[in-house]
Amino acid sequence: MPKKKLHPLPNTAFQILLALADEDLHGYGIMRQVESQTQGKIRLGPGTLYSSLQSLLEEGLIAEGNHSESMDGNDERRRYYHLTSIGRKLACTEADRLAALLREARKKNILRGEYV
Amino acid sequence: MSNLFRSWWIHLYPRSFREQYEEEMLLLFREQMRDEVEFSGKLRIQLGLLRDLVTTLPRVYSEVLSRNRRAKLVEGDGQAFRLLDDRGPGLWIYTTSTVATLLIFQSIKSMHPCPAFAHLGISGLMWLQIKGHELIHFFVR
Repeated sequence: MPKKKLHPLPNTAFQILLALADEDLHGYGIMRQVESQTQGKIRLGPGTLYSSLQSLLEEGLIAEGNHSESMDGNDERRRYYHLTSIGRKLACTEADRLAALLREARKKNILRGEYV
Repeated sequence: MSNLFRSWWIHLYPRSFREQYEEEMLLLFREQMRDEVEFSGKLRIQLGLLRDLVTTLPRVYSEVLSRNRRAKLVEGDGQAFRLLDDRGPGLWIYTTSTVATLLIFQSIKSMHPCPAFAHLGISGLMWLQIKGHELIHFFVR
């Protein structure tokens, strides 16, 4: 039985799952989405991105989709990825865990800013 | 320069990983470079790529090797050939750099015969030899 590599879920993996929550994306799309959702704080390199995608695929958290609907000229060489139901469930669990952590941080007055 | 840069870094990854993702990784890098108009931005991407190589290569190699070991256990000795195939230039870079470090250490030690340095040199050399042996053993066994 292979060792579970994504327990606990690494930050990069969680960011990729979040990026795929709304739509199917290809590698570059995921990279741009992660950069945007972290306000430029996380910039995934090609090695980090594709090794994480490989792990997520092996764990069944994401799957490759077809890309016939896309219009880009480079799309023949691209694979699109989408979130599986297990991946969505795990992302929800991780979000709940982080929310609980934030609640605790707020209770202890160590949370900066009022926007959360 | 970008083309030259693009062509070498991808070959540091193991063959099985490249077979799956080479084209997409190259495309991604090309698109990153295309979307960045300023020289400083392009430089930042290239430096980011170097950092990415340093952090991901050991993990990718380790995953490929452990996957191959599992496959070998399941399928028998025939998988040993696949194990050999997966050793890319990255492995040779690690091995060569370890041997080069040992040689440099040995030459510095011989050029500085001061007792304190000699002591440090011998301990350091022994430590490096042990680590180098562990590393080589890890990949070659």
